Amino acid sequence: MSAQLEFFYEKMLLIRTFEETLLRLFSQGYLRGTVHTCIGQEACAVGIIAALNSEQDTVCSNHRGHGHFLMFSEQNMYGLFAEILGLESGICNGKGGSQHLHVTNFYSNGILGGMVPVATGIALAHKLKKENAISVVFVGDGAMAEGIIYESLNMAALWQLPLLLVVEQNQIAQSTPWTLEHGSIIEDRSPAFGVPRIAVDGNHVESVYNTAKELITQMRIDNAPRCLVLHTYRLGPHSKGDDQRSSTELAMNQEKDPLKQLEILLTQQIVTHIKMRCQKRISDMLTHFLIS
Amino acid sequence: MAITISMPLLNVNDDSAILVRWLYPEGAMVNKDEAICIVETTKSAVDLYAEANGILRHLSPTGIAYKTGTVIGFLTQSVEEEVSVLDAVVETTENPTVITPKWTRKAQILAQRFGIDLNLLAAQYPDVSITEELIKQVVAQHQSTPSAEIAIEPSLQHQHSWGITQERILILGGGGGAALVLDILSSIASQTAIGVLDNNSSLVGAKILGTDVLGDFSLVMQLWQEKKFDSLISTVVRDIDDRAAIFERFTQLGIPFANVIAPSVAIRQNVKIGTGNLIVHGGYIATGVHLGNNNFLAAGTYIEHHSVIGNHCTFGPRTSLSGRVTVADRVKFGTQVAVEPFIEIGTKSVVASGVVLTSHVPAHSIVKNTTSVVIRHAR
Amino acid sequence: MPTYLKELQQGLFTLLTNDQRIILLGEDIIDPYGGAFKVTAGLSTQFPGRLITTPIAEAGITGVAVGLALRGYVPILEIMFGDFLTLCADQIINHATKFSSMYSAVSCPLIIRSPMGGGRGYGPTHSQSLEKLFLGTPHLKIISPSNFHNPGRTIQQIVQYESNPVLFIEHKLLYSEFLQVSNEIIHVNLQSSEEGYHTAIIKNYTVGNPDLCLISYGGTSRFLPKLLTDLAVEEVRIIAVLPEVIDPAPIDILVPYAAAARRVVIAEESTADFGWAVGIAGMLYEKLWKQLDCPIKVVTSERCVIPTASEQEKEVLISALKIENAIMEVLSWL
Repeated sequence: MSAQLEFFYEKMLLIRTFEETLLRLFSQGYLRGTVHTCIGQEACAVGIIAALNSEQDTVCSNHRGHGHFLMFSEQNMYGLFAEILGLESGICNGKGGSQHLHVTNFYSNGILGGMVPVATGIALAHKLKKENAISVVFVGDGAMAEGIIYESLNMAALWQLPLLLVVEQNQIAQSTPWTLEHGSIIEDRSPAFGVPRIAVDGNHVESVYNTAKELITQMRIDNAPRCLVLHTYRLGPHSKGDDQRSSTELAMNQEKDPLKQLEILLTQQIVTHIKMRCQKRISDMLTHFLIS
Repeated sequence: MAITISMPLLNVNDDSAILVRWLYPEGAMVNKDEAICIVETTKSAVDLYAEANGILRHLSPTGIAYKTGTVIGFLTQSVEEEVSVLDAVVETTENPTVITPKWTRKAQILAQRFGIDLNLLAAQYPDVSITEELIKQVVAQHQSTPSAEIAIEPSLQHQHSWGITQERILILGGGGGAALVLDILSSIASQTAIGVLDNNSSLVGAKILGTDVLGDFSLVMQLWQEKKFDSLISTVVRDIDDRAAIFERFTQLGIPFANVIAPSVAIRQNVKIGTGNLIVHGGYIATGVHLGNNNFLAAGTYIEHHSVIGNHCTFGPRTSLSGRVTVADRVKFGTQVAVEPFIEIGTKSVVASGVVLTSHVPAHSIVKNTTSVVIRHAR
Repeated sequence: MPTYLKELQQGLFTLLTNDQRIILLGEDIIDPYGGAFKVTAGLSTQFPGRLITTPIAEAGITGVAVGLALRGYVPILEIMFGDFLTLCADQIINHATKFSSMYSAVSCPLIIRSPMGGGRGYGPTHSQSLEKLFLGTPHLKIISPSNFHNPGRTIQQIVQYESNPVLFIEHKLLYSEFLQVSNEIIHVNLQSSEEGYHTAIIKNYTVGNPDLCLISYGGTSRFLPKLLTDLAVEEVRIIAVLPEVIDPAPIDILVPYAAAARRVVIAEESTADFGWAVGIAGMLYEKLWKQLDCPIKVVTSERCVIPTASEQEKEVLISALKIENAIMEVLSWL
């Protein structure tokens, strides 16, 4: 059990360290355009994707997709970094940058909600080919105001497609609190379309993983869609330097940081050891790219 | 029972229209409300629609103008159904139809490009459809023998037969108008200027475009008796009454006035023109127009169909009259006057430049736009 | 004689028979209805499971088709009226064309078929020629066969050669038209590009040089048989050039014909200003500066709603008469 927790902690910490490095490099002028980090939401990426089989299952991600990507394809971390740096050695030759990522079975794009019908089509392909594969798509609560998601839910239910819609309810849409975006609770949406929904604490990585594991097992049997709502909190800014939330609110949510929750459960020695390993991997990466 | 297809009343200005084209062949099945033929008036080309389903029977050949109400075809219910052609024709024969000269549109385009008058060419080649080939031949001939300017010289010579080979013209007035006349005559083979007369003695002995100013108006009688010229043209325009007096005096003495009309002026069918008219380049005299005597039409004057112009009027450049306008005698138009259809303009009126006439003008009126005002200063 | 519709149906039939990657999607496409314009009539009966009738959700079904295309299928999506493509624009512009271009080693062989054009009284939101909105979209090919082309052959060609998204624009009024071939007056030649697409070269003369080059595409071809025949009688020699690939602009194909005729009219059914015809004219000016006898004339429909009422619709839409008048205007330049 401890081995699994250590595994989750290390994955989440790698994502955290990677993204904190990005923010530092951004302020130092190494990066162009924009980066959206998932700081505080790492348990969502790690818990869900750990339950998938990346050989057959597919992930459609969004603008906040570094965590999803690193969990899905950690071996391509340098390719991701190069892509964000805008190098031709990047996974998309530098054309995509932070928001537009692709490796086998993984697709991200920068239009909110736009990947949900694509993931629905991918689920249709899985079903037609009888691949027994699951199509997962990540959205935030902000994107849940986009109409095309509901067109997709209708089709996924109508055609009974193996689509897992993961809503990372991080409570904020860029700068707007979710209460100013939505007139009804998000959990009620998918059941209205005939897509069963489960909601769990998205900052608790084991809950996320166990729930995802259970859902995916069911889906491989019935090939039918599911929706998983993860309650989490975006600790970082939307991109960089664009956060108007109060320090009190941020401080309260620091307590629920998925990493801190695990650090309590693991021994100090192991935590220190894992931290050193992640630091080394990142500093090796920076050295590789001749960045100090 | 066959349903007749007759030429509709397309607008109040036209009592006839040209049947341009049948859209379906003889004997074709057509459906109600389907377009069956195209008819054209001076203003527009429109489709005629079938009133019922039926078999289309053509009665009238295309390319010809028919009076409103003329039966041009039928819709029958069966192929065998006889149609009473005679009955139909009776309605049409009140006025003989006007047959448009035949040429291809390519020929028309080339004629325009080479400055050839197609009406004239058609008269020279009756019973022949004028084609690209013929136009090219004419152009080639003209270029090799510049003197054989038959087809390329549109003028009234062929409509008014004076029975002389070259009309010798004496020009009255030595101002800008004389230069205009000389310039026009330089491109008309059938007319030539023998001299200019002007009452300003300082001009006598001068040359205008190579033509001598011979003396003052008192010379007219002498030159006439010496048979030095065949007709007069007046370029006096400053004072309309003066212009009228000159025309009337010499006409009473039995001295004729000529019409001098630039080759580029389009004079359409059924136009009546008196004498002493000077029509400068770019003019257009539409079908049915009556133009009196001694009028001066500056460049680009447009007289639309069935307008009636009296005598001794002067038109500034680019003045346009719409259809069925009536202009009395001695009316003076400025530059670029526009006149709406059916307007009547009384005698001795003056219409200033740029006026758009939308209502009748009583005799002895002066019509003028409100003065242009400065609306703001540029700095 | 085969109609445009029959040939298109036949092309889809052949594709479904020979290529298991083909899936047809769209609203109301299965039997017994067989599609609003009957293009897919009979196919769902002959190929069970290969046609998916979809909810009325043009954006969503476009996304679904994109997903299929990413995963090894060749989806052919029918959007019932071209006017509804506005709803699909995000999936076409920000998804389908981006995946094939910004990702490495990803193909997205999506084909979207849609009928455009007016003339049937469908009114303001069912009569437009909105392919105009997608012109110039990177990595999107727009193909619009006329009835001098064979649309069934074209759609097979697309499946064979394209790995990126294609908009396949049909014209409502072409479905019932016969495919045009040469006759005594009109001589049709199909010039094949390297990719195997055809440009129809239509002459109404046999000897001599053309007086004018008429460039157009798609549904305006319905006017040409009669117009060119009538003009042949008038000795006006026209060479009409109708590419089926309209975007990327087939400028290299058009230039020699425009240069030979020296007078050019470009016709399209879409609204005036900033359209295909204007774009082609711009490119021709760049290539043929000082080689033309007169300005290029562009003929389009009016820039306003397309009314339902028959007479009003006629006034607004491009017509044979408008094209003929443009031809005469250009020829009238000295």
